[in-house]
Amino acid sequence: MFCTTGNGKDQKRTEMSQEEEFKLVYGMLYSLKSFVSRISPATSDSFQSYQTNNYKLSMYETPSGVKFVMNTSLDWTSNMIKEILHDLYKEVYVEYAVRNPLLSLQESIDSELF
Amino acid sequence: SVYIINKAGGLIYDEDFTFNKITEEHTWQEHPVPLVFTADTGKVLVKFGEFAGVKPGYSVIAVNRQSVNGTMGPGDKPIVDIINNPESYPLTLTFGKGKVVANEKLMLASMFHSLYAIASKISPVESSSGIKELQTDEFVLNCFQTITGVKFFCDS
Repeated sequence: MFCTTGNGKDQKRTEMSQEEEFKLVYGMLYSLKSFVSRISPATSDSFQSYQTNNYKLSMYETPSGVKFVMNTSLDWTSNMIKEILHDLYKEVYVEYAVRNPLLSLQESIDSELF
Repeated sequence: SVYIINKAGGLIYDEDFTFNKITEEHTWQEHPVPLVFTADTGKVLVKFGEFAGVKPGYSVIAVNRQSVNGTMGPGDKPIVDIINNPESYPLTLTFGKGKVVANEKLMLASMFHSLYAIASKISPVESSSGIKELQTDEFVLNCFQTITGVKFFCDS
């Protein structure tokens, strides 16, 4: 898992550590995926994004199971976000993270370029 | 469909406006159907096997073009029996996404209640409401929470 804060003035409003927050986000995404596939009127469906009154969370999942999650402000359109996440996967992740033979699967990605 | 959830997260009202879009229909002439069915969740689901576009997750919504009622086919015979009985062939089965069972609706409603709360907690901004709008490939789900804590959500 890899996390970066896009906003400089990030205030911690809860006492959760970063690791706990990761677990919470992951658990939430897993439940969201399951919820969406069950409630959907179509036979196969997958979750793309949700928004609250303050932020928008988008997710892009690859067929190999890697999920890219991004929190943005509300004015981004979902097409733009989807494109960005897809490009992020294609250009950056595949090139540098996957093809790096020194990178083990469990440790978080430290590469600066990433 | 519309769902209303009370302050504690329990479903108090739901209304279904969707109707089944028929997705796959197939006629079999002889007995062994190359799909494995399971009938324990209140509808007959394809558990295993893939055939002409029908995949696991699809459920039987019509037998011989007559719509089914839960796991019972026309004439109140269990669908699984009809499928396993060689005398009922040639047999036409229609597959689609089955209707959401009442029990499942309760589960989904309380799931959503918790997801709504978590969404407001993990917000990178200081205070945030829960999920107002959720978007997937096929539908959009909107939610509105009143100041008393009652949630109204519907998919479109």
